[in-house]
Amino acid sequence: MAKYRNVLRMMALAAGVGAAVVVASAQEGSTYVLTLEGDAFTPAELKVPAGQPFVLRLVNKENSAAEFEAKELKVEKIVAAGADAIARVKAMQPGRYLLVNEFKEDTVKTFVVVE
Amino acid sequence: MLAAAVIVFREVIEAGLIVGIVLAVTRNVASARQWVAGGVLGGVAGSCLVAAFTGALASAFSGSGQELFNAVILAVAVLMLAWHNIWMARHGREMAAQLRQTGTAVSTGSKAPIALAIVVGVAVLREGAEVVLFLYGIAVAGNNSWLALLAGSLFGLAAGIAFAALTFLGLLNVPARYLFGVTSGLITLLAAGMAAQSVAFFERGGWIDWLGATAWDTSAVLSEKSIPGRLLHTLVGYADQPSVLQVLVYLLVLAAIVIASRLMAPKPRAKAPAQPANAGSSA
Repeated sequence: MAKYRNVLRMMALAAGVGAAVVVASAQEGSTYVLTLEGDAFTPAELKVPAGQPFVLRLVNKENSAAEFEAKELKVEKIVAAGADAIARVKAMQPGRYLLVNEFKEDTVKTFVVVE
Repeated sequence: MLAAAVIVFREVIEAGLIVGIVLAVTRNVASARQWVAGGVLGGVAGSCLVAAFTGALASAFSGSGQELFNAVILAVAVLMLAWHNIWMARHGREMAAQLRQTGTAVSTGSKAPIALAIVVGVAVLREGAEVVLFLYGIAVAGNNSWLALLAGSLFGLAAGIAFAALTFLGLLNVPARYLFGVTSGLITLLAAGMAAQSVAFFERGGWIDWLGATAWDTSAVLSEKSIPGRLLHTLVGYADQPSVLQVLVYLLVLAAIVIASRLMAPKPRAKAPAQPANAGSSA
């Protein structure tokens, strides 16, 4: 039983350390809106500044759910029909980052341009 | 049609892999299959619920509800996998002995299947909501290709189930004396990978902002989104752009489970069986 207790103690310690690391809502930058409607994104190419974190507000005006996915930006967000959601992105290097509706990834795509 | 099959297949394949492994791990435990089936059904039901409340979930916790949800259920799966491995390290040998003596399925180990059923449920739930929404989207779009899309989706689903069966049968071909080592090694790696993934969701939701620098970028060599990338992602936790914290947590969980399993193992009478501790390091 003593062994069990030690393992439990170790787990509790690990959980404590984990909880301490969790800092609610780190700093975030400006918000940029990207709208999906009729299988097209507006704006056609979203421009955001390089080197600072930003927030994407993803608006889905279609009549079915969509998954906004930009792999390199680490955005993977399911947005219900007619709803919107936000995705936090960390500071990025300049570049063109592909963003798609994963449910129709071959045809419905845009680029987020970080410059 | 093919596109729909690919989309559904790659969402189902990760859950399929986990179901196959869990079935192999619990092959000698009485009523394990019912538990696994229960886990799958629970996961499917949960997926429908999550899909129905996508909007509410997304807007919860100042827009980070989806991420928090994924992070927490993954963390639960990690705990369950760790518990299972440590429990098996303690009781695996007596279970094997009972099996040899009676030749029947072991009934005493009824606690372990609960943990693994939860893991199966989490695996199905994680990707299931996406499949449900995708299928629902096909239904409401109502254009004339919906039948082809539905056929493609069902084909993708069937392929995923076949893949689970293949994983299970493949593991059954491992010689019995290695199987325990192989499966506990697999479960340890699954747990470490899921822990790293859980960290990724905490990071995405803005809950953790610590050691967030990208440790390496191998997306050009092996994309995490390709089918081989996805398989490796599920099996050993491969990530093509992990953060430093993800790598640290991966190694920490790997070490914690291996060490705890060793500590919990009953004192060997002669030589202790080798633990598959060398399987790690390739995050």
